[in-house]
Amino acid sequence: MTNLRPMAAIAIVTARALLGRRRTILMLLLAGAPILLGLLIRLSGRGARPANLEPTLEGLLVSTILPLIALVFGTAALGSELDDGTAVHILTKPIPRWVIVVPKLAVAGGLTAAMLIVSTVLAGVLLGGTASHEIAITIAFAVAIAIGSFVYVAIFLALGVATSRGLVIGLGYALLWEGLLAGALPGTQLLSVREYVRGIISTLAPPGTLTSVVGAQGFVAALVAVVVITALASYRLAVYEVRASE
Amino acid sequence: MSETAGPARAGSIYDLGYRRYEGVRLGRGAAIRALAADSFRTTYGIGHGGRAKVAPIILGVLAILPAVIVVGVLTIAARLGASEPFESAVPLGYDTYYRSISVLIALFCAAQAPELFARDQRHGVLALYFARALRRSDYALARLAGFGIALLVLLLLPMAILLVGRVLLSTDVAGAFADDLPTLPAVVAQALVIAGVFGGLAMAVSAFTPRRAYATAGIVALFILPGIIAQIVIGLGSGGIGTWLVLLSPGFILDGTGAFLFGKELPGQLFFFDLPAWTFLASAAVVTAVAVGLVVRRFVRIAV
Repeated sequence: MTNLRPMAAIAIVTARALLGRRRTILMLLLAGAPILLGLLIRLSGRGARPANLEPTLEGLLVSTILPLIALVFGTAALGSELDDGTAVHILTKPIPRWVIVVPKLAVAGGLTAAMLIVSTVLAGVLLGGTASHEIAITIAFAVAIAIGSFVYVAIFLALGVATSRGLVIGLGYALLWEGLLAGALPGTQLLSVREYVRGIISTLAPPGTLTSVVGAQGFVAALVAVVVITALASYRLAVYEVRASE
Repeated sequence: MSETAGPARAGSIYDLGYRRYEGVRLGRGAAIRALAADSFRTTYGIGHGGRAKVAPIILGVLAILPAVIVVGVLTIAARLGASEPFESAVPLGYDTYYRSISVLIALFCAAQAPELFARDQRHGVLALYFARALRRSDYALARLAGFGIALLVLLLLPMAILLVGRVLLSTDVAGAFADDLPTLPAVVAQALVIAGVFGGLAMAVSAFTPRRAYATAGIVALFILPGIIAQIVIGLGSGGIGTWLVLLSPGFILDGTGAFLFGKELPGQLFFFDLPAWTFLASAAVVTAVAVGLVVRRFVRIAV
């Protein structure tokens, strides 16, 4: 229980740091893009387009906006403090390292998930309409994207601890590994968060929505990934050497 | 100064030996050239620590790798005596190469363009540049030129490898060179388009933020999102908006100019595109000009 108070304090500080004006506005714009698209289609007076629901949510939210928002929040949650040297104030306190990593992950992941759930549900309703089949698909996407938010944020947070160029490496992972290699070498899909998310969607959504190699194992894989990566980040933070910032 | 250097008096000003610079002043042109050269070097991490070299070298090697592999495969095929059917079967030619490495080029821009503008703003050294013979617009243009040349090197090097490999593989070297010569202007033009559109947009984004991280994320969003939204709008069957979005998304501009320059059909996704193919070239020019204009405007107005 002694760890709860520092965790709460770190969570509050992280939330305040992440909700800086400019970044939040940019992230809201990004998360709002699918909603705008949905509005545009509704305003053009052609009604809902259930056939386009799944490709739109997958192409826009799962494979682009989810990794991008997670990337910004994940690397900023801890990496920016390490970069500008203010992390020293936390690192010199006698608290276990996981107590620093876990609340940061919770806040950054929670923010990402909150933005994306709103975006997914609104875009899903605007595009797909409110028939029960389409609502089921939309909810499956929202749940899977929320889980994926935490996995992605965990990865990018750990990268931010491990290297000052975490952002570029994270982008390389999202674009090259998940984008290019997953198409060419299907085996790499087992180590791809996007595939976990798709696996979860294919499990939750009505049959025939998506085909996925990972399937229901996506839940397990996502959980394992978060735990392992959090442990790695905590360890990396424990052996972190405080240097003068660049 | 010599008049004050008399006998010591109370309150006299001591001559501390400050000297004027008496050498040649190279002036504005030299300053621009030096800054452009520095931008080129910074883009590849030359003259910076090992950490600054990691991203450009890895991405650069990955961009060149396919060309080396193609030449290698062609060499092996020639040894086995199967060069003719093989050469036509290799999927990477002058016309398709950039398409397949476009993600790498985008990543290179996203990683390296912020190195040039973000650091100067964050560490407040712009005032030092502007105190020189440089004008504010010169600073922006020199940085842009350096980055553009660095991108052109990255883009043209794999093509040079491809060309040299193909030419030397043939027994009739002069003939093979003459065969490939007609496509070279198109290759160079396409490289210029990519350097202009990708490089220009990347520099425009990074000019507006002192934080490298946000610039990188912003550049990637700008490269990827318009294309995806365009694809979705096309999927929904809205031709009018779709046409505009296609003309504004970097990925589709490359497809379009590639098809126009190499005389190919537009990719199947763009079946509905009924404007002439040169509009892509015009769009590339407009995007580049707007990006350069934004960068120059930013540094003309920035407070230091």
